[in-house]
Amino acid sequence: MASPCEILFAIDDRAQAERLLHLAWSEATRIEHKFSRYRTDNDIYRINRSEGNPVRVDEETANLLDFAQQCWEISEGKFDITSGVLREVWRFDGSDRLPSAEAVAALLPRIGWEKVSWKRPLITLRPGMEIDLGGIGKEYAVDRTARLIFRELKSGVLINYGGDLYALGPRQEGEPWAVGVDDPEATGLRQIGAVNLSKGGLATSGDARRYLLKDGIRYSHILDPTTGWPVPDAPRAVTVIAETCLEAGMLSTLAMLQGNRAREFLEAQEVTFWCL
Amino acid sequence: MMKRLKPLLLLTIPMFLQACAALQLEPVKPWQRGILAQEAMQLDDDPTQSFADEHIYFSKEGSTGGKGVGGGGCGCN
Amino acid sequence: MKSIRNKLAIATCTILSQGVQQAGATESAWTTDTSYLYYGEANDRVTVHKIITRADVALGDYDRLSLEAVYDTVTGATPTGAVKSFNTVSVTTPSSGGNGFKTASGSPDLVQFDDTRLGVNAGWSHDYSRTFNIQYGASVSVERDYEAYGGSVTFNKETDDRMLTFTAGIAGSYDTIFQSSGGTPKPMGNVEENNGNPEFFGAGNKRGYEGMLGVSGIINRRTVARINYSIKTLEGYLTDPYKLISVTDANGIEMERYFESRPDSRLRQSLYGILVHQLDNKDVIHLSYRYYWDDWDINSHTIDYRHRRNLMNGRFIEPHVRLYHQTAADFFHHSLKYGEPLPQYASADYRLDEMSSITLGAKYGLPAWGGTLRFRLEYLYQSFAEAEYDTNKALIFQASYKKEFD
Repeated sequence: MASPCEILFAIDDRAQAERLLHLAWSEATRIEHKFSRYRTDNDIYRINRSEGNPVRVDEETANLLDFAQQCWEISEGKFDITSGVLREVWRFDGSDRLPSAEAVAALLPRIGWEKVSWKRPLITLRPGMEIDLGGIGKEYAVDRTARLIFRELKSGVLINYGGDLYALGPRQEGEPWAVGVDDPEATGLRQIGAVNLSKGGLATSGDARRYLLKDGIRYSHILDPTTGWPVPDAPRAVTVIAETCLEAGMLSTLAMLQGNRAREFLEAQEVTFWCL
Repeated sequence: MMKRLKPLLLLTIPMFLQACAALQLEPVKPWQRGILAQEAMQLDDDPTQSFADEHIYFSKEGSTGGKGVGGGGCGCN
Repeated sequence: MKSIRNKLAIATCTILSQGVQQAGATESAWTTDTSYLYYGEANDRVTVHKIITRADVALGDYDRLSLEAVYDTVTGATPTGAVKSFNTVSVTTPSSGGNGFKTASGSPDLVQFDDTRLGVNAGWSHDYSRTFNIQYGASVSVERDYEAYGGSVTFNKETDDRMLTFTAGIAGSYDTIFQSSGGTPKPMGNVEENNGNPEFFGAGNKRGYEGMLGVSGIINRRTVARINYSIKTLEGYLTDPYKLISVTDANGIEMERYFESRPDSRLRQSLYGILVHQLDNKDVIHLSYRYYWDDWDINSHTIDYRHRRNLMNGRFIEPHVRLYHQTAADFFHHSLKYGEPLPQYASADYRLDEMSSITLGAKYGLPAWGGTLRFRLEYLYQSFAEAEYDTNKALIFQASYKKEFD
């Protein structure tokens, strides 16, 4: 994971603490290796190079694909793990280099979960299509790792992988964890909120540094897979608190995809959130 | 034969230089051990091959051992 | 706007509860590795077909069992140590009962082999604490003319930060050696004495005791290294019952032929170091060196270098070079001089001669059927300073398939 990771729990046995940290670390690397699209030795790689042939996946990958499909259904096609090929033309480096409309349109035939045949445990992509579980993987790792440690420790733990966090059980004294929410544009310098968390996940979507600016219009890096273009008027960042990190992450991502209706969407979900 | 081996031994010098460059000590935290955890990075990354090799060279050369203790002997020629 | 939260909560709950149950399952995974090896020497000398299979299983969090079985067949001819001879001295007592050995179509400088071997190694590793582990091993190997039994215990202690591992190991072995017909010839006995019925003793026994001290450590994020010191003492019947030595006249013509004789003890020591490093381009190198010395005056250097390059789609290619050189044992002779008194110990076994070996080859690996398939092809060239057969050339081919199960 290319971001700082934090694991907090109270324990007085140093050896046990190290064992648990090792456990957490192995689980995080396992998940990263398994679902990273940058590796050449995992199922994602095989699926993305399958050239139209069915690929058999294991149970865990199948579960994640099921979940991705449910999110696609819930979001009415706005959350789509096949949208990653848009990266071929969109580079959000702060410049004004927009891709041509033709280049974007040319990619659309390679995007869309509806074009994928997913019949557990076999997945078949059309040639040229790719999937990317990166939008789920980190939150999934946070929740799993926290549960793994909680099971061993029998007391509270907080996992924070680069701002996506999950608290399971209160701190040892029975007090909740105090979590501050950073302003994404002034990381670590200013907080926009604080919350006490005994059980729950918190996740942030949006990256204030990733955008394009042309003719006075700001293009966010949140891309609509149905058009291939950035979602207009998307918030700069959305932070959500929910039952789990995975749920919080998905809610914040879906909110971003709503564009100028993000706040309305979040209010309808009846969750604690910060929308900038 | 030794004369013919000498240039080959010289060829191994770059390998050792490479090896020395690798020897810069630095503390490695548990979460920095992703590369070291890879199968290819294990000291004995292919036990079936090393087992077979030990057997071959045990039967064809006058020296043996070094990697560990135990393992079966044989009357191999 | 409608709420999707319930649907999402159900979906996340489903995936996370399924996920956690799986964690236990992966810990008890099996690993199996099965391999076929062909070793073939030039000029119809030794051919070996070998099948190796390994299985490894974790039992809970602290124990790991491993089982390794090897089955091989050895056929062909190997040099006896006797000189190539034209005036055929009769040395055979082939199938007519009694003790003796077959010679290759009347040439006593080669002996024909046709043997099979079955070996089993079992290992148990137990973690006594987070940083302390003991491995117990037992091995049995049986062939028509050799039996070997061994046991070992290896202690591994890691430092708290797991940067270093200290290893100490002890092992013992007990081997029984005989010719396929049952006995062992009298050392330095004349092959032709008693009208071609030389004196034979019972089976020979060989006992081995060994110890090892080692340390391995993480050098940096991309490098690990290990250094071992090993010592092994062998005592008992260390002679090879099939090996001969000729007594020749000034012209090199064979006059007499004797069974070889070796000292009844041997002290072997070695220093071994290995470095594993990932280069900037993600290639992985394995570089090892061994210095070995024993009280038979054999000193040797071994350098082994493997360079693994990862290719597309999980494939890799790994060239390999191994260089070896040893000095001769102090009782090694090409042949003995006629008219001089027989020494107590003498052997013409090419493996005790000064020698250089070079192995060149490569391994290719690819994912297949959910596991990993590896092919290896290597060429071994050995050259000897004095031995009657001054070279040995062999081709090694190995195909292995490894797979992990939940």
